[in-house]
Amino acid sequence: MIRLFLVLVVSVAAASTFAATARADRETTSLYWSGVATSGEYRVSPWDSLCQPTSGSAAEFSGPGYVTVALIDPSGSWRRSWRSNVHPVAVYVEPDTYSQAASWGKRALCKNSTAWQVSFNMWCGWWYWIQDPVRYHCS
Amino acid sequence: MRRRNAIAVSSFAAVGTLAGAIVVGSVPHARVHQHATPAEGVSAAPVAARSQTAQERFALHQLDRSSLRKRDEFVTPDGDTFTISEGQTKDGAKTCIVSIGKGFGTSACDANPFAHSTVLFGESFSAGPGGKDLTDWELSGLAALQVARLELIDSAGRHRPVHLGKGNAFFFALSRGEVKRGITAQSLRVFDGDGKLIDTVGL
Repeated sequence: MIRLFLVLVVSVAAASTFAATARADRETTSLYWSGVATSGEYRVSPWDSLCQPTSGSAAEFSGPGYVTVALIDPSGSWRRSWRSNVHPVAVYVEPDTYSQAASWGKRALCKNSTAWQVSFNMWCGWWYWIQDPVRYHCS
Repeated sequence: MRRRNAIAVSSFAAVGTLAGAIVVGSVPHARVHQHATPAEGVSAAPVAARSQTAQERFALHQLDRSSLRKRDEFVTPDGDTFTISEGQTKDGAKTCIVSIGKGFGTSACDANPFAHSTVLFGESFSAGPGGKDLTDWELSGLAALQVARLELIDSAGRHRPVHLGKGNAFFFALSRGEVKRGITAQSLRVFDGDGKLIDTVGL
């Protein structure tokens, strides 16, 4: 009986290890908008989904000023935001895993949040997870 | 490459705020492509950059999260712990301040962090829709070697000490109660070892 139990434990552990190593989810980035943004102007990415959960929001910009990046939840709240006068600026979920990113729906935001009037080029991107193997198919 | 950037700027001016997305791989959110050139970093390798897409450049300019070196750890008045680290961008061109706390990481990077300012910093916050009705606010940063003390001036006119820790990492957080009462940060004052004010940064 004890032997049978040990065999079961070892089998489950081996299966878990195999399952863990078999998952090769990876994170990548993509630009979702670029153009001239004046003070107060912002852009948002589309909403994410389980098939490609968003894990971060990032931006680069060309001029002196401030840019804010944020991750927005389905209620519209800015769950986490980050503002700086140097770039790239980025905010991302931590720990940054597929599971963490997929645990809540979100979209990325970038905003020219300079207090004075200024226009500059802004490149807005998002981080997202790609499933490997695919568990949730994109519609 | 400066000329290339200038061309990109001119293009932007001409087309206004035309939305563009550059999408790679299996990302299903393809939209209009605009020929945009991320602002910096490309000048370091102009020949290679010409063969890169804006998407690839953007990716290279992002924080390399394996490069983080922890500077110090701080606790907010409400008991949340934040870790301040220094990192590098993937192309190695920029140094980044990285602040991790409350289930998120944040970063801001500069090629010459202390050439034009004595501090490399960012402000983190959570807020309601539209970025209004803030619920918390923190300031995280790295200070130049000559910085010995920092203070934050809040909207009530108070001079608040900013915690300057190991590796010249600094951190300040308003309490949730203060944020709820509408207290905001106005500026950051930077002092050297002789007590001389060497920089004032508007927030």
